[in-house]
Amino acid sequence: MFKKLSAITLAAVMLFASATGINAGATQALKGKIVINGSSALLPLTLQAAKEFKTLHPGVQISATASSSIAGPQAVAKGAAQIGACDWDASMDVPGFKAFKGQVAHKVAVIPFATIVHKDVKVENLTTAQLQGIFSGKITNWKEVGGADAEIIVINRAFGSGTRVNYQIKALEDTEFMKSGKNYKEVKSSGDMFTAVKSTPNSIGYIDLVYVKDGVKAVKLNNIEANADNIINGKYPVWAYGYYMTKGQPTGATKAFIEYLQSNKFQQGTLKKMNFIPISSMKDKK
Amino acid sequence: MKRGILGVAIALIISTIGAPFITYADGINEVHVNVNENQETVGVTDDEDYSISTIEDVNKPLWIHGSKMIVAHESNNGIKFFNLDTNSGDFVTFIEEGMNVIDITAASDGSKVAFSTDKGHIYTINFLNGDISRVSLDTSIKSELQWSSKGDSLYFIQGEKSNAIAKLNIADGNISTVFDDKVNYKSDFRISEDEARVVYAVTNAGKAILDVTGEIESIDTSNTEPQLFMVDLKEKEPKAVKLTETLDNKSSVLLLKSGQVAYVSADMLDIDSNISIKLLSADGKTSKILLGDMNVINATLINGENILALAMNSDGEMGIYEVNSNGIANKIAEVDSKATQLFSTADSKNVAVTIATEAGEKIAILREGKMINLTK
Repeated sequence: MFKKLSAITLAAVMLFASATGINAGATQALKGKIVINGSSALLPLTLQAAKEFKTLHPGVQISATASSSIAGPQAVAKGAAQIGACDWDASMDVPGFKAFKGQVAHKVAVIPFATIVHKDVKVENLTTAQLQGIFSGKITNWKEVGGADAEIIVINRAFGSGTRVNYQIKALEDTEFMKSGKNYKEVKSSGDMFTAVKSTPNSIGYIDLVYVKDGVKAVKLNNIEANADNIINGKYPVWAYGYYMTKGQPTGATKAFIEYLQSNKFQQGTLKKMNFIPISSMKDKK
Repeated sequence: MKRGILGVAIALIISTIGAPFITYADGINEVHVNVNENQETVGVTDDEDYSISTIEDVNKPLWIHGSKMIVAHESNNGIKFFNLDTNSGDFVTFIEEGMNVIDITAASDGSKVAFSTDKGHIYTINFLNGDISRVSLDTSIKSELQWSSKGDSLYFIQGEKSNAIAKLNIADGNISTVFDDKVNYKSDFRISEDEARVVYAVTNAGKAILDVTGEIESIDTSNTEPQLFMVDLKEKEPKAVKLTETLDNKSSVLLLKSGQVAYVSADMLDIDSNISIKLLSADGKTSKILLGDMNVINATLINGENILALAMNSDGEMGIYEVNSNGIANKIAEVDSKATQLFSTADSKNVAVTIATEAGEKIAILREGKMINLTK
């Protein structure tokens, strides 16, 4: 039944600190095209932001492409894109990838990642050791980790994926992935990962939380669920900052778009709705 | 949607500043909603420090009944919503930060609002009788929430890939798919007043071209311009009919009662050309330009057929213009040159704009042909 509100008079008095925001007076005449390439994890967020930004700046057209994180700074370096979406700070060395000199990293989101299994896999939780065993090829049957007697099909992201980089570091604690095998498959994007796990019985993979929906099941890590609260409170470690990389400091429409993504208006609204975490929520965490 | 008796707890909590408010807690979410029963003077003091004019950095003005307005203030702690009385100049906190409310949308008569949380849960509040109801615990991503004209449903784009158009029945909380052709990245969606048609834009992703080493060589952005589609929902097997093939950037998409479609059009091939309004026939075969001598920022539909636009003339002066489908335009008011977005009730009786400030944004409203600053 409906709940009635009683007649309550309120005395809510607040004065507010300023929030971040662009000075639209200086940017109303913005016109031009922005090309964004890179992380498939960040693509849904980029497209939502582009839609909102267009309402305020109808002269700015944003084209987004997603493949893998490494392609983001590569495209910026080649001049093929103004923004490279990347799941790591590509201005610094990370395991497997050298820094892209001269590029500037702009944090735009906190990306939560989850281990996912086919919906019929009867396992709800995996430990770090179990994940390390599965993804290195040492554990090959679900019965070894409390599931049914069935061979595990490992779905991995291809080299160059930021999701792969972060999962290896944060979930597998730098354990090497298996590289081949009859029960091993690689996919190119977050969308492909979802499709592969959904359609492959007994499969396991990993994906950013925005893509987790009916058809796959997220499993806990060390009995901790992958969600925003557990990332913010430090209990769940598998997350990363998402970055927009630019060649030097951005200007014009590119600068305005990045600032829009970083604004509280976007971070506390659409970004949260898309199952990302605002960058301000992590404060000094790395 | 009826709540079960179990899991429901309603607490009257005394706020830290001494005035009570109601907490609606159903064991799933806890929402603090502060509403004055009579929607009259909602401040508790005549001290001018407590008036609307002291509120800084608010946006997304949402007109509700009785010249009241819901506005949003975002901070690192979340989004706080205020209920402003634009006549008396007083306000109350409507929904606290930390309640994780993300979007609010008002029914066309302003008598009720629906809001969604960060988890996708939907609640409604009826201002006329004070009813608050949890309508849905569905967690799918919901964008562009819109009330039906009858006020009995909510339409939205569903999914992280924005592929489906869905409808939520307020009475029973049932969500049904209205249209899903598996095409991703739909946006700017509008449902007609009779719920017989929808119009929306689709923006395709580009293609990365790799070199022989597997590295990016270039990006093919052809066919990534937004294009408009119309669907007749009354057909036995509704299909999306493409209305546009043009390369212009398209925003502020409007669906007129006549079936015509209007949008703000920016020619991306001519950087110096004006940003105007393009009006398409219902089948998309013909088009004409409205406000062609202006630079239009955004536009909204009023009275089902006319368009209200925020636009800048060649002298750099910003104004609000009403234009009809014949192209006859009438200047309604001058506006601060830093205005960013226009908001209006469907009957155009209440109009507001957001204006960029050093602190973020402020709101101005139209009164007797002039814009009055409402907030700081």
